[in-house]
Amino acid sequence: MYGVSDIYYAAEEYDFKFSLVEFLFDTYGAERAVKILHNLKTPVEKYALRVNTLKTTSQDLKEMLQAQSIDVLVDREFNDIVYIPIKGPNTIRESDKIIVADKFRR
Amino acid sequence: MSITPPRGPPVAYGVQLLDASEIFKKRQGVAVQILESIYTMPQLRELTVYREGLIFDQSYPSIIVGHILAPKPGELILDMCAAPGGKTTHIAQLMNNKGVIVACDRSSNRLKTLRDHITRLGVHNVKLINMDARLLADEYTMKFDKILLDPPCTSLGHRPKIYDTVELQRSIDLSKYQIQLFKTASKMIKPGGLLVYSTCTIPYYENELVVEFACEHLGFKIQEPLFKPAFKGELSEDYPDLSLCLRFYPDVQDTPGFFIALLKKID
Repeated sequence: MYGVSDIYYAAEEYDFKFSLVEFLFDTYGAERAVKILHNLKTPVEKYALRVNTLKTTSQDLKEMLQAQSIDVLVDREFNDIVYIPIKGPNTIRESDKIIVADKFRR
Repeated sequence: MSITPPRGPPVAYGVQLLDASEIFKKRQGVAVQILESIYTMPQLRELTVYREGLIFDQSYPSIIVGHILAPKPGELILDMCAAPGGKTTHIAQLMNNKGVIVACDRSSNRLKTLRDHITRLGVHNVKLINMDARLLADEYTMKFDKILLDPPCTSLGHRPKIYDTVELQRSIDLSKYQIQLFKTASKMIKPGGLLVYSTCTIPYYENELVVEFACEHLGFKIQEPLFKPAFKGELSEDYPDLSLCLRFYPDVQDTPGFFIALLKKID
C-alpha cells in the first residue's frame, strides 16, 4: 500500500508533477512506478541507429564505425538496426559557476 | 562550468564560449563546450556516416513502427504527423523508394528538417504537405493503402528525462486531439487498409483508450502484429483486443516507453 506522502516524495525526488506520479502509482503500483520514474532519468544502455538500407548494409556500417574505434552491435532480428553502447555514468568535475539548462522555460 | 537541470546534480562540465548577454542575444550557436558528461557516446551528427545519409538516430520502438506498418513498394502511404521524418524516411526505405508517401505536418519549420533528412538519406518518393492533418479529408479525396498516425503526445516515455512539467490533464486533453486525427484517418484510408498508431508516451489515455475509440466508433479493428518485441496492451480485461497492442516499458526494457497498435479499416 502507498499513501499520498509516498506519491509526493516520488514526485519531488524524480521531478515530475504530482498528478502524473499519482497516475503511475495507481496504474502500476508504487514499486513499479518508482522504477519507471528512475529508469526514465537514465539513457538507454544501447543507443539505436537505423541503418539506411537504401545506401548501405548493417555489416558495412558496422565496419565503417569500427574503423573509427566506435563499438557497434547489430540487431539479431532486423537488418536495419544497429546499436552504439552509451558509456556511463562517468565522474565529472564540478564548478561553482553553473549554467542551468531548462528546455521547458520560455 | 557545471551544466545542471533546473534541479538536481550537474550532468556535464564544460567551458563557456559566450558570455551571458551573448547567450540570450544569439538564438543559435555553441554557448558552452562540453568537456565531460555523465553519459557519453560518439557525436553522431559529426560522423561521416551521418553526413552521407547512412544512418538515422531513432529509438528501437520507433524503428519497429515502420516494420509493423510493413509498407510495400508501389503502395500509397499517408504519414499524418510526419516531421521530423524518422518514420517517414524509414517507410521510404522499406518501399525501396517505390510508391508514394504523402507526409503531412502542420509545422513548416519541422517540415524543413524533414526535407533535409529526405535529401541526406536519398529518399525520392515523399510528397510534403504543410497543413493541420485534421483538415486533410476536407482538402483531398484520395484514399491510402496504409496510414501512419504518430500524433503529438506527452512524450512521457522519452529517455533520458531529467524532469518534466506535464500534468496528467495534458494527457487527457491530447487524447481528444489524437481522436480528431483518427477521425480524419478513418476517412482517408481504403477499406481493408492498415493503420499504425504509435506514441512515445505512457498513459493509456493517449494509447489504448484512443485505439478503443477508433474500434468502437470509426470502423477499425485491432490486428495481431506479425512479431511481438514488446508487452501486451493495457486495459484488455475490459476490451480484450487491446491485448494485441504493443507496449514498451522503460522499467523492464532497455527502450523508451512506447505504444504501437496495428489496425485494419473494416467498414
